[in-house]
Amino acid sequence: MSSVKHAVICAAGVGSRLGLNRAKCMVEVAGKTLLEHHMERLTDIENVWVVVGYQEEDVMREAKRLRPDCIITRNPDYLKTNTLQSIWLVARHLHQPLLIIDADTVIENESFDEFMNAANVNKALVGVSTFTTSDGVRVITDKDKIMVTGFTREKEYALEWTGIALITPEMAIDKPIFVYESLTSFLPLPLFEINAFDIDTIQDLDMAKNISVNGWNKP
Amino acid sequence: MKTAYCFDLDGTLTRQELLPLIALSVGLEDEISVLTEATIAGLLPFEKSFKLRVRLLKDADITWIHNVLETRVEFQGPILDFIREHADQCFVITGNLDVWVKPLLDKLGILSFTSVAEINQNGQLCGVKKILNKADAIRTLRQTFDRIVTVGEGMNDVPMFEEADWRIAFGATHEPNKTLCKLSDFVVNDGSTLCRLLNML
Repeated sequence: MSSVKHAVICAAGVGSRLGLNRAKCMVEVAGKTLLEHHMERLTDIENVWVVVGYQEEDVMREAKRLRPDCIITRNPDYLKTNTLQSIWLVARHLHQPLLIIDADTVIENESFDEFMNAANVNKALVGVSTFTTSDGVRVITDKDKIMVTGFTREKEYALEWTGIALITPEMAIDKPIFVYESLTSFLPLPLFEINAFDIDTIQDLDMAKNISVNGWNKP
Repeated sequence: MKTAYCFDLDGTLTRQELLPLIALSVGLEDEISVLTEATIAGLLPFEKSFKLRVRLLKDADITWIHNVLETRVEFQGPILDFIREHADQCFVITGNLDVWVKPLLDKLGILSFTSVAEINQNGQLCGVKKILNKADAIRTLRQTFDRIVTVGEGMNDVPMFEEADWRIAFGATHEPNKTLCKLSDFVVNDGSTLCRLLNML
């Protein structure tokens, strides 16, 4: 069992930019839904929470099939709220660090395991990636590349914020801002590089499919 | 802060639905199941359906009913443990009839809210004196408790959810009712997961 006791998969959003008529966690890459990929990586974590909203019945059914002991958390206001507020729906009940994952993220299994090894000895850890996307948020680091010191929309920074992090419950608040904006008040935070990116557009989905065929060749 | 935990009985605390078992004890399973299905499909309101079911079953020997419930009904084990650890804070909220479910409630040993049977001078069941409105039960508990957590699976748990602070739809015995799911904060599908969640709320 992992010393990280809680993982929260945020699967409530509509994913309108991808333009598929289904929840993004139900999109298949390499023959499995993104949710299935996540669940397979989280078998060591005692409590897996799945926040559902858009097309919740489909997502709940898939979550129950994959992990019968997961805790489904409903976000009925998913159209008006964002990922941070979905995380808060869970974090408000917790007193221990929690791993947060956007359901629409593609992650290399090996680097996820390495991230978890590092997460097991940290209270907070920010997942950053060299796989960048068209509208991703980048991170500013200290000179040793150990700590995140800022988040930015400027494209000249090479590392992208992945949406994957170990956070403490007070880092999640009920405000309509982005997760990285909430984390900003707690900087600097340790970083860990992980091969991952989120699927927001058709180009991102193509990149995911390409990786599933050709492997994770670093850009 | 004082928290009350309120559990539905049939299909939530128990692994079986109770009315089909009661019907089986007197050979009326077909008749009762037609009414149950019509109720689940939303064709009959719960109160009317329940009165009809009681009329069909009123001549049944109560000892047969108790016998079948005592021998055939299994509780969700992990939830029983939770109830034992929090006996003063746990309550059964069931629309089922007091005289029928008495042996199960005695086993649980906690305060319960039930529908009330009408008994005639000869001590026989002749109808329903009062059908429990689950919202009333929650309002009563509200006088003593600051926070109410509810766990249920059926359409008749909706009034209870509407009055509660936290609502958990429970899908261990069967899929929870869809309307109830839409009112819930959490959906869980097995007893030990439910207890983990209750301990975190």
